[in-house]
Amino acid sequence: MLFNSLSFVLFFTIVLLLHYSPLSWRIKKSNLLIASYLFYAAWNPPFVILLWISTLVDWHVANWIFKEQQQNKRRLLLLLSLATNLGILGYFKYGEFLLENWQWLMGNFGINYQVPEWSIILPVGVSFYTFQTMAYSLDVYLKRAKPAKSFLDFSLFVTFFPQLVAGPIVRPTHLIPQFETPHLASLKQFSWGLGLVVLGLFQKIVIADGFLSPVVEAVYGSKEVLSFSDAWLGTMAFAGQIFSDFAGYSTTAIGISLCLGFSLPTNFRFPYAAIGFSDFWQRWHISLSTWLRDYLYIPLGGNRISNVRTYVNLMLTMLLGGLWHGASWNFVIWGGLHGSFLAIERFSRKRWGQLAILKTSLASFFLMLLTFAAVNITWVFFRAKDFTTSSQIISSMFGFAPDNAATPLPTLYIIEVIVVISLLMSAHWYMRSTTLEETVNSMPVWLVTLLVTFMTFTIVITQGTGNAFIYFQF
Amino acid sequence: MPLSTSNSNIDYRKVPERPWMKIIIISFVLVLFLIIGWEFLARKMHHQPGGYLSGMDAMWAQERRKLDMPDNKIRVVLTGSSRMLWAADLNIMENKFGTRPLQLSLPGTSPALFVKDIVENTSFDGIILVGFTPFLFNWLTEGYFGTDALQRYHSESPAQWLSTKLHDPLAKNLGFVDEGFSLFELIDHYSVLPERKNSKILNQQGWKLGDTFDDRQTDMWTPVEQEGSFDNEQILNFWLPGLDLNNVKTPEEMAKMVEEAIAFFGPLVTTLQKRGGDMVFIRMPSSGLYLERDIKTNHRENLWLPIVNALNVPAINSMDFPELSTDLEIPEWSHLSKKSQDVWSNLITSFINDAYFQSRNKDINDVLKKTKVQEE
Repeated sequence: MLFNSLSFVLFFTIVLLLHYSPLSWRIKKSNLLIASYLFYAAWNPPFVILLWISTLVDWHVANWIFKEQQQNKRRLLLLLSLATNLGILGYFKYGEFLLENWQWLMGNFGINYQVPEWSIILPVGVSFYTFQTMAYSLDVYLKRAKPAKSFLDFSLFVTFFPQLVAGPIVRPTHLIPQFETPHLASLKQFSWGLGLVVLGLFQKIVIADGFLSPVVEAVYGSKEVLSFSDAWLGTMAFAGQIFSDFAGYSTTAIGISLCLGFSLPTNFRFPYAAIGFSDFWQRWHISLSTWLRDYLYIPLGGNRISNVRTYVNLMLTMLLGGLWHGASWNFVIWGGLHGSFLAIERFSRKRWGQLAILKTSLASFFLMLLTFAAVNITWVFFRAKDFTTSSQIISSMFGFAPDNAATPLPTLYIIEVIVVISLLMSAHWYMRSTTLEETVNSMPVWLVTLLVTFMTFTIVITQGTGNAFIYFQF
Repeated sequence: MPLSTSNSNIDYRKVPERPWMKIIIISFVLVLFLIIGWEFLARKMHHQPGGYLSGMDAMWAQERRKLDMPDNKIRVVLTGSSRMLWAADLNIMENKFGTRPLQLSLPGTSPALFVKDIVENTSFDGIILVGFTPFLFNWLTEGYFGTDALQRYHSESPAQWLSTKLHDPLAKNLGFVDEGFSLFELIDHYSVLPERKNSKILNQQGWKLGDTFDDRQTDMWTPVEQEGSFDNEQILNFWLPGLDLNNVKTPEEMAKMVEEAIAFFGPLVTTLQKRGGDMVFIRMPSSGLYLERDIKTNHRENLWLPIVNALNVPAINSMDFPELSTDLEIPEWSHLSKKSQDVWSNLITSFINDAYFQSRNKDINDVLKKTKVQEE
């Protein structure tokens, strides 16, 4: 079920009515759990079974780990949880990719391996909830947390519908304690929650789908070699689209949770104002980057072993982070580029980081633009449907387009991209050291009212075609 | 050990200190007034309530599912491209046939796959009216919209089903819910800016051609009916890139298309006839550059006649009869106006009856009125 759909409006209204009716807290949580299963089943009912498997396995495994004293057995139990979750992920997400690459590899040795006819439907949100439940088992194994006291609370943690299919990936220590005691939103929280829902839907429906998606389609759907300007404009449009789409989802999810009285963590912090890639990853998909840091980068040794090992750990983490997004070499390249840029930045900081000129506002602004340009290079691989397309677009972006290169973008689209991306980056730069809440706090009431009115009205008249959020495919 | 990391406090979200109740109430009232104004504007621009129910694929799937119901009384199915969609008035045809036809035509799409689907995957044993749009008919795949329609039919999610049910009452009462009146459609179609070489010209992408009601009854949109109007010109500009008269099919290419069509439809006609049903082919009317292209390629002799003769099916070429073609209003060369739709629907049923009798030497009503009781 999409947030930007009429069915969700009806669904959420019913959920709210039940949540604020005079029922016991246990019944309210049960209602939320049932609603979450219905929310997920609305896509494809059989896949709810995967949620059940994840829930049952991790509930029991964590309890056994907690009681078990012998380290070998604790490790085996953890492996059971990881195998189950990664097994689900591996089968549904990477099964076909692995088989195709195996076929290619065998072909290089002269072996004609036939990939079996296998149509695997990717369950929506599988990358998100498997990572979320793995974090639970890992935290208990690492003795960072005790198992949840209540199976109901844990089940709700696994399936909580606002963040089930596209995050934020929430730590058990953040969400489960909130389920233990009754949580209802105050009028202020509920109102702000609605405001966040409006903002999130505006980002998705108006900015991502309305303004930017047609531009991206025109460029990335072109079969011809593109001009320098069209390649850059199309890619910047995608940068805006993927941010508005994904951050829009997160903002909506946070708003919905707040309306129910729960707090989810921030997932985006004005990433296009980032200065450098390590800053970028502290601002973009924060719940994933911190997950990778805590459960992959640091256990690999982080930056505690040696310089070389640090670079290896960085690269490995980013490569796997890329692969998390999808079963395609394009995503691996995307992750590899981020790893490379992080490594270059680390080296550069050590070498030149203390130079006074780099600490000026002008230098910061310039470095921000440089970071944005480099991020755009990586987005090409994220969006292009294959390596040939990404190579052609990269080539055009670096000025190697032929004289008769295609210029598919109409004048209106160019204006839209320039205006929207400029406004987006200005907003990010303005708010890079603050929060959305602080910014709204300092705005005049009439301006807040006008913005809420404007966003709500444009959402209604844009209508949208109920496009799925981009990150649903991950 | 608490259920926590080293930081045992959850960082709850702060809420900006603003008078939220006041903001929400004022915003709500303002939005309501703006929507009322927007609705007035929509109706002034001929976007009427009821004119656009759920998306094309959702509506097609809904109609297609009627054939799967065990005791359905469907005896006539309309297939073809948008020309059949705009030509058929279902109420008039119901009156004439004595049974309401099921409208399964799909714009930009050949009837081929859908006829195959009906013959092979249902027990339908009535009459399939096959709309024949020159050249589009011979594109024997999903066409522009077939994939989405079939996917929706086969795997509509519960959420999609529910959204359709919620959307349609809104569309029946609010004009601005028309997809053609969405903000970005309006921006695209009314922007006039200097265009870059070889870029898409946004206000030549077609826009709104018709209104679709219950049962997929489709009528031409009033502004398009006025030849020379802005909306009429937009549709014509949309057709033009595909109507290069210097680049038309050769006789050899058309001969190959004939072979493929016969190979495709032949077995389907036989199968349908064996269980008591039949097909009637109707070449749909056209004018302007579309007709010029058909004349230039000698479509009637090179494609139409070889196919219908080889398939041995009752067939009506609208262009052979002025009352079915040149006497009618086809404002943008391809689809009938609302008024002409009524005329064509009234007349075509008689032509169908006659063509069927001439071809099969029996009354088409023998097939149309056959019921399970009669079979038993």
